[in-house]
This record gives sequence, C-alpha cells and structure tokens, in this order.
Amino acid sequence: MQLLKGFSRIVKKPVVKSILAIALYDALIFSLFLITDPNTLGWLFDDKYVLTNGLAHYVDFRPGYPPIGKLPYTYLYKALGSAEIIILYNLVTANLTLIALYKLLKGIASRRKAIALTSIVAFHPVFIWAIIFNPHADTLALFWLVLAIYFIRARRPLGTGLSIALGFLTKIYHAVLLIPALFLFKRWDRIVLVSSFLLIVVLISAPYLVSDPLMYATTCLHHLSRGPSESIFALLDGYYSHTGFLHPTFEAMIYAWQFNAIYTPSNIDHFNYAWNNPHLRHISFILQVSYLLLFSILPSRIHHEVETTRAVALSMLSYFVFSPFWNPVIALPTLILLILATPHVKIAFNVLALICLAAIDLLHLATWSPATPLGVHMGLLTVVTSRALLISMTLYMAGKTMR
Amino acid sequence: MEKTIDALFAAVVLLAIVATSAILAIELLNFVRTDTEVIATYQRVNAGVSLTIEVPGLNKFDRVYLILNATTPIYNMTVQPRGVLLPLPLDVEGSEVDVAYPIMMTKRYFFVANTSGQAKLVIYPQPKTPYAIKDLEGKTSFTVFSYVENEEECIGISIKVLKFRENRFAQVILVIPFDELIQPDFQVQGVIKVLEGKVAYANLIIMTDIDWYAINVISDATQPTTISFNVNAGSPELFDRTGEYLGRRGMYLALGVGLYEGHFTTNESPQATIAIGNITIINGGKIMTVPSKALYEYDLYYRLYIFRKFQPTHEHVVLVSSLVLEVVVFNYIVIKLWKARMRK
Repeated sequence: MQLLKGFSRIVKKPVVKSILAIALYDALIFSLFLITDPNTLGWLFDDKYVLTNGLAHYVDFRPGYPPIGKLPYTYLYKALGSAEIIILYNLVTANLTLIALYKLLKGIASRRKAIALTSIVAFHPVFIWAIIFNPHADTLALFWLVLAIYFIRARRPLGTGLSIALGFLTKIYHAVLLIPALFLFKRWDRIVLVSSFLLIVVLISAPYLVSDPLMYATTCLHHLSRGPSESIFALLDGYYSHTGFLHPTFEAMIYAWQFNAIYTPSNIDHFNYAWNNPHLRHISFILQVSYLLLFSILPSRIHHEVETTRAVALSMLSYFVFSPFWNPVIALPTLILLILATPHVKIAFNVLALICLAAIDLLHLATWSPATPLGVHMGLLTVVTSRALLISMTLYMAGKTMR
Repeated sequence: MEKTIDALFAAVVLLAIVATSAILAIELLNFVRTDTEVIATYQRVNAGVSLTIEVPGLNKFDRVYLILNATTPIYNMTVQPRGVLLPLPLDVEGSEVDVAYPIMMTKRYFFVANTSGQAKLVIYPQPKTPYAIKDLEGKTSFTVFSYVENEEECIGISIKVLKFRENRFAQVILVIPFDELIQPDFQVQGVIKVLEGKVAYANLIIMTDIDWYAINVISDATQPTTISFNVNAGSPELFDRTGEYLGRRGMYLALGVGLYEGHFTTNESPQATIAIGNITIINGGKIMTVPSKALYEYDLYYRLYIFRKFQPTHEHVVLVSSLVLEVVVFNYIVIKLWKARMRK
C-alpha cells in the first residue's frame, strides 16, 4: 500500500508527468510507424548513392541540407541501415521541439494553453508525417527555430546566435531570424549575436571549407534556382507540379552554376525554373522582405516579452507565407509561428484554427495520391485558397488583440 | 586600459577576418571563371560503325558529362585508355532509370576523371528513330532495326530483359515530345506488331505537366499479332481517370511496352520483338505523323562538358585555417568584453 502511495506521489510530480507523457507519445508514434511500415529509407537515395560509390558529402556530392541537417541521417543509415533508428532519432528531435515549445508558450500564455497548443502541434498530421515518413531534418530545424525565439524573447544574444547558427547548419532558413534579432539587440549584444553565429558556422563548416568550399556553398546556392511549388505564386504562374522534381542523382556532383549550364531553365523543371511571369517572383520577394522588415523593426520599439515573441514570430511567418515555395512539411514552422503570433487569442479560436490547418494539410497531402476526388488542379487551388484565408483570419484576430 | 587594448585587438582581428575572406573569395572566383569547358559538335555516323569522342585536358577528379540525343541510341560505350574515366551509375532519385522530364529526350553519361591526361570515348551507334527508348521498370537491352512487311516500313525493336523489377515486370518506353495543350479532339492512332516473344502489355502513356495517364492498347500478346489502336479522350485510363488530362499540358507521349517474368520459362530468354508503324496524333484539329523509319546514317549531335573540380592547395588550407583561428579569437575577445560590460 505504502509502495503504491509512494509511486502515485512520484507520478504526480510535474517532471515525472512530463516524462510519462513524452514516453506515451513516443510509444504511440512508434507504433504508428510499425503499423504503417512506410518506405522511410527510400528517401535516403542520395545517401545510398554516396555510400555505394564511395563519395563524400559536401566534397564530392551536394546534398540538399547543410551538415547538421544531413549527416546524422547519413551516419545512422551507414551504421545501422534501418528505418527504426531513423524514426527514433526523429522522435528525439521532435521531443526536443515539443519541450522547447511548451517552455516558450508557458512564458507567454497560461499553462493550460501551453499544454493544449503543444499537444495540437504534437498530433498535427504533418508533424507526425515528418517523424515517421521523412528522414529529413524538419523536426530538428523546428527545435532550433523555437529555441532561437526562446532566447530572443529572453534577450540572450549568445544563445540566440548559437541556436540560429545551428539552425542555419540544419536547414538554412533560420538565418532569416538574424534580421529581427539584429534589430532587437543593441550595441555589444548585437556584436555577440553576430560573432557567436559566425563562430559556430565557421567551426562546423571548417572541414568542408578546406576540402571544397564551392561544393559546400552549392548546398545553399542550388536552392536559388528552384522554382515555386504548391503556393499561390506557383499556381498563378501555371506550375501545378509538386515541390521536388525527378532529376538524376549525379547532378549533385557538380557545382550549382555548372548544373545551371547543363539544365536550361524551364517552366516544368522545378530545380531550374523559368518563370512564365517573372514579376510574381519579385512580388513574392518584395512581400517577404517588407513584412519581414516591418515586423523586425517592431520588437526594437517594444519591451514586453510577449509582444517581442509575437513580432519575431510574425517576421518569420512573413518569410514563409509569402514564399513561392511551399509544401506541408517544408511549411511546418508556419504552424508553430501562427501559435506564437497569437498568444492572446482565445484558446478555442487557437484550437479551431489549428484543427482547420491540419485538415487543409491533410487534403494537401491527399492531392498527390492518384485518382484523388478533386484532382490535382482543383485540389491545389482549394488548399492554397483555404490556407491563405485561414492564415489571414488568424492574423486578423492577432492584429485585433495586439497591444 | 586593458579593455581598450582588447577592443583594439578585436578591431585588428576583424580586419584580418575581412582580409582573409577577401583573399579566399578572389581565389575561388578565379577558379570559377574557368571551371567549365564545353564541346558542342556533331559527327556523321553509320549504325554499327564505331565513332570516337576525344576528351582533352583532364585533371584528376574533373567531372565529364556527355549528352546525346536519346533518339540516337547506342549499343555500348567504352573508355580508352581503360580506367581513365570512371562511369557513375545513372540513378534518378533512387531508381535506375533516366526518366525525368528535363532529360527525357537526352541520353546522359557521367564520368569522374581517375587521373590527369586525355581520354577517348568510343561509341557504337544504333539506327536513329523518332523515339527516345528508355527503361522504366527493370533493366533491358534493345536493338533497333528496320522492318519491312508488305512494302510497309516499320521500326523494329528487339527487347531483351536483363533484370525484372520486384513486381516481376520490365517496361521499356518509347517517348516522343509533344508539348501541347490536350484538346477534346485528342486522338492517337497507330499499329503495333508483336513479331516474336511475349508482350504482357502495351500502354499509350500521356505525360502531362502534373501526372502520367496510361491507356492500355495491348494485353497479354504471347503469340505474333498485329494490333491497330485508336486512343481518344473516351478511352478508359488505368486508374479510372478517363479524360482527366484534357486541358492539361501534354509534355510527352509514349508507348510503354511491358514484359512479365511469369510468361517465360526458366529455359526461355525473356525477350520480345515488336514493330511500330506510323503513328498519327490528332489534337486541336492538327494532324501529326510520327514516321516509322529507322535511319542507318545520320548526324550524331553531342555536347561534352568538362567540369573542373576544386582541389585545395597549401595556400588554400592556410587561408581557411587562418580564418577559423581569427574567428575564434575575435569571438573570445568579444565575449570577454561583453561579459565585462554585463558585470557593470
């Protein structure tokens, strides 16, 4: 009896409760992986090519992700070659993301709301999809994003610089966070932010900067020639295909500009895209930059932690929502940024908006299966329009409650 | 006083970082300016007679990329001297096929130079056809020839399966470029003859900008046979998406010829020989005919790219090491000064 009482006392402790919740979540997701048995390793075709032909990433071959985003998967695949270990790694990074998100939300909203919103993120179908189907660094990238915003909110330049750098070396887009952070931090804090960012980037990149800086740079540069996809801009330009586009794997063994020399840009080739209406690209860029700057300048004039978090989240959100390049997994940060941009909104509205977003994302994923009832054309139009409406509505609500 | 010295030192290190980065950038830009060499030319060829393509001035690790028109198939290619160029497998995102829109009408070969010097690529060409003939499932080897029956010329293709896919099928596609909006009057008419072996199916594939649609025209032809087909917007599609491609942009049209492992006994060589007559395409009131002629003498156009690969020199290693050191020192001083200010 005493043993039971002791056990229940331990279980009631917040830390133990959290650990149990995470363990339960992991068990649930891992079971889902075992039941669905997806071809997760199939996505690692580039690692297979590199390992089979005795090549080295960033020296002979350019993967789509920087080292922290790519190499853990390569080494896990090389060492064990099993999908299970990849899913476990994804689960660890997903747990880190959820813990960081909960901590961040708890600082800007009630505990109840933090738990509710973190749970919705945890059970968002695309988040689960990213864990069990996708051997790419999307969940780890989310962790660095949340951590960087956490440090920005706490006005800690060293932590901000380090997490942005680690994020940049995971999935590049985190570098955008430097802009609001540079506006927010002043004088020495600003210098510390930049120098700590540079230190991590240079230290981790050093082996590749020595071996072949051009191939290393190609990892980022290659993305510049990519076309739009699955966004309003893509549909307006007449591109109805998906984010990736079949290409020979060996094209990644040449530099970005050499690749551009052998693949003439075309309006069907996502990887080297020729816009039918190049103005759309400029419009997208101008919208991204102007809103990014607008919301980056805001935190420098406000001192309230919650408002700082909202402004930083909105600046990053501008980068994502006006991007011509979209798909549910790539746009996962939007989900978290929407939550962070609307901490004052009633919880019921938050929950409803997130459930609607999940439904739209599910419909988006279903669009690509053959014989989908709406067809690709109508399906994409539906999801793109409804998502734009939902995000606008959420931001309108956020604006109404802005101090 | 100490802080002022530290601040001055930080400024000096920052200057060093800028200078080192600038020198590195100049070094890399100089390399990039001359890192691509292109030879675009053609040679007159006779099918079955070898031709040689010279690859001049190679440095070790350079990448060599040869692009041919896929309508000019070749039997095989050898490198002389042996081992100078290492071929890398053609792999489109994990599957061993070169079926991707940007490269559909081209045949690409990729090599990495194993040593510095010169090399020759010796090619044995086959007759030219209007089709790009490619593996879609499994691995095959094929031979193109001219086939005449009742004074009517057809393109003969003998397909030999080297490896079936896990689903026990092997499929070869014969692709032609289309690039038109598919109109309601869209029709494809033609004749396919199975001359020898066993064909599990033949499909007309419509490759649009968003998806592929397949319409079956031959099913289980295990005896010599001749099939005339007429595919139109009402023809049933394999995934019940009949006519869904109307109004879409058709990028390519293809005939997919499938062989099934279960049709062949263990003593039998898995192969089939087919002949394709004229194919007529009607779209938007326009009529196009794909000729059924195999050319034995033609111009083989090709582009040869020699892409230089950066090789680090001692100077480069020193520069990068200095940069790393400078950044570490700069960061150390900056954080030291920042902490001192925080303490205040």
